[in-house]
Amino acid sequence: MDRTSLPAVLTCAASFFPVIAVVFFRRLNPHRRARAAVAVAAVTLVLIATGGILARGRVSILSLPMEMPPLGMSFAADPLGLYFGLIVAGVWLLVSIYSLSYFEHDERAGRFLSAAMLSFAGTLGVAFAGDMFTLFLFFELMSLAAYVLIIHDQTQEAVAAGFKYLLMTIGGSLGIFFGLIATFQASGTLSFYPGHLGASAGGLVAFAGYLIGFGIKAGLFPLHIWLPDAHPVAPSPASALLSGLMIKTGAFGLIRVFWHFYGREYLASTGWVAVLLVLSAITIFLGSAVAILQEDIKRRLAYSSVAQIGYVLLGVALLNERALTGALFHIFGHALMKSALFMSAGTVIHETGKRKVADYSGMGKIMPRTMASFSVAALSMVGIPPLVGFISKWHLAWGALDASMPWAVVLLLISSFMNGIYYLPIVIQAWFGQSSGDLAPVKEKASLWVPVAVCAIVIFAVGLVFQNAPLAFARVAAHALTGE
Amino acid sequence: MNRSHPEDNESQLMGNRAKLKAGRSQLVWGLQLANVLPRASLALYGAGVLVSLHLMLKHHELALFIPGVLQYGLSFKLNSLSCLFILVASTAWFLAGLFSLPYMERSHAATHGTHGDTIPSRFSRREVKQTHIATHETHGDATATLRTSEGPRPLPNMTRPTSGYTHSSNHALFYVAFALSFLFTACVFASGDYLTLFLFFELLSLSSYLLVRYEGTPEAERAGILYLYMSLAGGLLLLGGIVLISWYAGSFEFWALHSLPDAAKLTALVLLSAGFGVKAGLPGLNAWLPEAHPVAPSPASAVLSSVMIKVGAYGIIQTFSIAGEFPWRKEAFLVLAFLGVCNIWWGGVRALREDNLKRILAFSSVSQMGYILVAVGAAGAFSYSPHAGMVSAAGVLGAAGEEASSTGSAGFALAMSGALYHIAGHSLFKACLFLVAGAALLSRASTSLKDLSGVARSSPWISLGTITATLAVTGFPGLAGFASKTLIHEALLEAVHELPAGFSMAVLLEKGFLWGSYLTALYFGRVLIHLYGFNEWSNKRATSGKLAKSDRHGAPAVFAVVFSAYFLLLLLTGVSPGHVLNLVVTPAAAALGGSFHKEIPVHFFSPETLAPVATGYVIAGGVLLVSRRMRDISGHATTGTLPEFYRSTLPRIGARLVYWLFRVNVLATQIYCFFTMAAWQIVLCFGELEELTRTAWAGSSHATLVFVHLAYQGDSLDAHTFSHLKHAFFRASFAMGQLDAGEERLLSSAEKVSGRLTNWIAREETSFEESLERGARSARYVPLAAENIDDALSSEVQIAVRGAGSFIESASKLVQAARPQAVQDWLDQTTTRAVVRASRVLIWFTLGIVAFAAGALLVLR
Repeated sequence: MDRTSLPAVLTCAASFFPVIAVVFFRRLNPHRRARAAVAVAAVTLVLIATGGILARGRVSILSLPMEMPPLGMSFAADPLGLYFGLIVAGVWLLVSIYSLSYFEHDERAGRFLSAAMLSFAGTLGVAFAGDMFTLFLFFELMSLAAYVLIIHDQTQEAVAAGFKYLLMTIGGSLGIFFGLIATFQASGTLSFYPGHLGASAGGLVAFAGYLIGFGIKAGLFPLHIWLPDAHPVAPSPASALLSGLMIKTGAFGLIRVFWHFYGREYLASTGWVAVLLVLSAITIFLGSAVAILQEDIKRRLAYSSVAQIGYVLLGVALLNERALTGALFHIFGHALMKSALFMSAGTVIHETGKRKVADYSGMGKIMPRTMASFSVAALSMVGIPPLVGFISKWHLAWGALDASMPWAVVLLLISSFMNGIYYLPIVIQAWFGQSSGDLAPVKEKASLWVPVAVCAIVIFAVGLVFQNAPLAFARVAAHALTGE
Repeated sequence: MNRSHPEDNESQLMGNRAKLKAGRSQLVWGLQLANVLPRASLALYGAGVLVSLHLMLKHHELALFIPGVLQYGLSFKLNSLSCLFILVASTAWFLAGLFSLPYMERSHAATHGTHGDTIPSRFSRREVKQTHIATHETHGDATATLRTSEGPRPLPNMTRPTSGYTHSSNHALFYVAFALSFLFTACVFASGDYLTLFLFFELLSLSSYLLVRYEGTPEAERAGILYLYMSLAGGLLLLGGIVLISWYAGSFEFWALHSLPDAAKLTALVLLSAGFGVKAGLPGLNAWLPEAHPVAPSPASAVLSSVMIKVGAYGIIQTFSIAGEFPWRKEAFLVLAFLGVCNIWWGGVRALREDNLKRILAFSSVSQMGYILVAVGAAGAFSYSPHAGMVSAAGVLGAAGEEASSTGSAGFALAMSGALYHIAGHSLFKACLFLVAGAALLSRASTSLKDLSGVARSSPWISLGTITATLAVTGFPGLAGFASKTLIHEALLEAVHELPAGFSMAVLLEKGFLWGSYLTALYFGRVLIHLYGFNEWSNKRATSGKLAKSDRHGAPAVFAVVFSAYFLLLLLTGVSPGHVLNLVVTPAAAALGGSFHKEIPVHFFSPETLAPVATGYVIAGGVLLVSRRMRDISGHATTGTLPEFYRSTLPRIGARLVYWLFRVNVLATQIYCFFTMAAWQIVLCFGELEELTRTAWAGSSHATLVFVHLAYQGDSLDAHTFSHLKHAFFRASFAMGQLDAGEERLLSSAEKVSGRLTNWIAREETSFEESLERGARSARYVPLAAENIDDALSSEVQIAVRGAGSFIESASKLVQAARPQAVQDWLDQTTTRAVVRASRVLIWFTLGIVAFAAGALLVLR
């Protein structure tokens, strides 16, 4: 093992570390398990950060010696993977801190935490996989473990939604599997590096397979049906993880497929990408429009996620560097915003049991810290300038103009307006509305509001600081993919 | 605030106590804030006045760039144009802020006193039709029902339910929002590129929203949400334009617009002017304006109406003067002027029909914005080039800029000066009028004209403000409004000359402008008649006299300061227009690109300029007199709407015109409603689509089930095959079971091995733990030892300290014994003298401070 593969070794270790940790989880009681989960997330974050520092923008590959013939298992530490991995580990750390108090009186917390660790490993593995087969394996690990997260409460709706999720996820996995078989048959390799298989990436069959598989995970328009059911029934930390991070793996997988397998020229010449373009446009409009009608806060947030993942997919489908930068930055921004929103909604449910949007009236006086963070995240969703949502929309709009598709800009603006329509009344009612009177001010637990506040501060600070590191990183990652 | 009934049950009491405890720290903080904030913010506005005045008179230009913020950095530029706007803003904020000190204290006592019900009834007459958003509608209804279910008026010391939300009595939120709105407005004017401008434009929308809905009544909530949504939409239109410009030019600078290709420039212009137009109240985009301005607290209405709509005007002026040449330029400007005339007429006619003073003033703002738009439109008739300083930074403009014809440039400067002058003047008299409305609201607890009869006679200061501002807004010579309207009229006349033959329609614009300004005199005459109680002289002279007397419970001294300040300012800006132009307005217009090569070609106070004003007054006076006589004859006691009169006396054409204007207005409202409904239908459509996909999914899964069922049915037909299959299946499963068992055995042995391994690890761990424990036990001795050492040390130190103390004591005794008596006396004397002198100084100092504070307090209250 030479020095150049050291970052890949670190990312490989980061991907496996949570799985190993789960083995030792058996010996801990749920309370300690929650603390251990925080520690694992922190250690993983440090591992990935070290890997990122060592990689210095270069690509480093590690092929594991125990090969599964004929498909190998390999890990990569490239800008794209490191960018996504850092987001995943960072947000996961915050959510696991949040889980400390959230599951305090839950006897099933142990099961949840173990499953969360497994899906953590899966999500990281998706980020750091060096070839499609490895990505597939970790994708499966993540999807199946997430089922346990969704049905955690074991209510009737939860089990029904979980079943739906399971069916569609398995269908999606089959799609990816077909895709990778077709790719392997056509080109004999699944590795992302050197990649650029072009016409030999498996053709339309593989493309359709990938689109369906990753589209189901991401919540692309006709395949998004599971998402608004599964996200609200899951416990709030799980919703934050599902909405903030796991649905991004779908977009991430599509980025890998588009830029490593097919390449821009081939996709542009075939025009298949128009399907994704149209579907993501419908996704944006539909998600925003339907969210307006939702009365349940978590359902509204889930539909908002549908719309926002549409932004990311639109950025991917526009096939240029600026749009890709916008999409990648929106992965970062939306991970923070949506996990903050879901966590604060979770705090409200946890402390007061209120789920309806109408019940948020006067909530700002009952739990000011939580609602302050909620408001920052919601304003960022609308795209008020100094917050991250504005920056990603800005880049997406420029990318759309680069691709000479001004209608996408109009779509983004309309969607922003609709975001305003369904987020601003909550914020306004929370701060200025009359509270229903049966609630006394709640003493907010530090571990419940601090992670949300951290999200809010980052959302605010990234727009204001002089060196916007996440955007610079996204730009490096996008450039590494698009610029030869 | 949170005091509870004694008869409340125990649990509620506990809850209230907890609330009280949690709220106490906030309350203390809030109280301190509320004491300091209004004064501190006044200092801020005053500083704004001084700084902008200084920069403007010295012709300084400042530029500031903050890199990195929002990725591209923020850029601020202060030139004479932005200084003029900041001066206007800070003046309005300073005086309104001064006014707000007594106003906010008294307004709640007044509005929630005996007359508390009259305000909502007036405001709620109009429904907000435009936004039938389900969520906010339900919220509004929920709060409304909550409020009505409260039943009779509650005790004053309880949490006030009449106000929709429980802002505390110190109004900290109001002052914060007020100050923030000022900061953001000033930053919009000072911003040096589109990104900065957009940032502060959005923040301004949010902070001014807080002002609009501050009263918390259902009307305020509805108006606030309408305002918020419309300014959000406006901001997004603006963003669309900015994205377009910056993408084409690769820069956020204002001049970037100048270098755009034609089609993109036109699109960007439409987007930008629509975005700014929402703020400026362009026709069709001003639905929020007459709703939002009246419901805000009066000082806030004053700044909303006098300055914040100028943010839109600033944007439109800036945009159109930078745009330079593009196809259909003259048409675009003509459209702008036409929209301006529409605004003048629409606002005027609506103001004539209204009964609520604050709504009249809001519609008057719409109408006055029309003048500014007409001026901008007239400026477009002249060929000109953007200012070299503005564009040459990019090297966009070459020799072409130098060749701009001097007459064109002068005409442009004339029109722009008129617009800027009118902006400054309008900000003064409209703010003053809103403050008059606020003072009237304080004394009568209503803003309905019927209830306000004679209110202006209750205090000389209010009377002063009313008369000055009303005369100024109608264009009385010598006050601010006259000069600006004359300038705009002159510019319009010159523009009509300048335009080629194809634009004969422009003459109509001029007539529309002139007659529209007569309308102003008409409706403000009506306002004056009511405010002075002339409407009741004929039949109810006795009662009105009584009413006027009852009002004399003293206007605060601040009112005297504010209204006399407005009187002086209006006089100062109006009595010698030439000086104001040269000092303030022309440099700002020059920053936009126009310049005078000689003196201003307008002679104010000449027969040509005075004649239209006189005509206006005569016509308005005549109409008002005739309408009063008509009413006297017909015995109508109610004042206000004039349609019957129009139909009976005025020539039929005039009546037709007004009628058609109403029709056009109704049509516009209908179109607006139609579009809103259509948008809502689209949203619903997507809901349907969602439902459809959902059903399709359910249907397909159902079909799958049916298919499985059918397959099973088909299978059972051939029982033989099925049994064979079953056998095969059983056998296979048996084999699988065998395999499974073997695997299980393998697994169990592996488990045993791993168990042994685990045991071993556990044993090792225990021994490790034991050794750890042993180590810890021995480690426990370390602190004990340390403690011993510490004890020993401290006792040593104690002994030493005691020794030192006794040493010092004995030494001082020794010194005292050694000091001779003479020295002692001398020392005593000198100290006494010094003390006396010091105390004298102190007393004077304190007295001075007290006097100063008393003076300051007298002035402030």
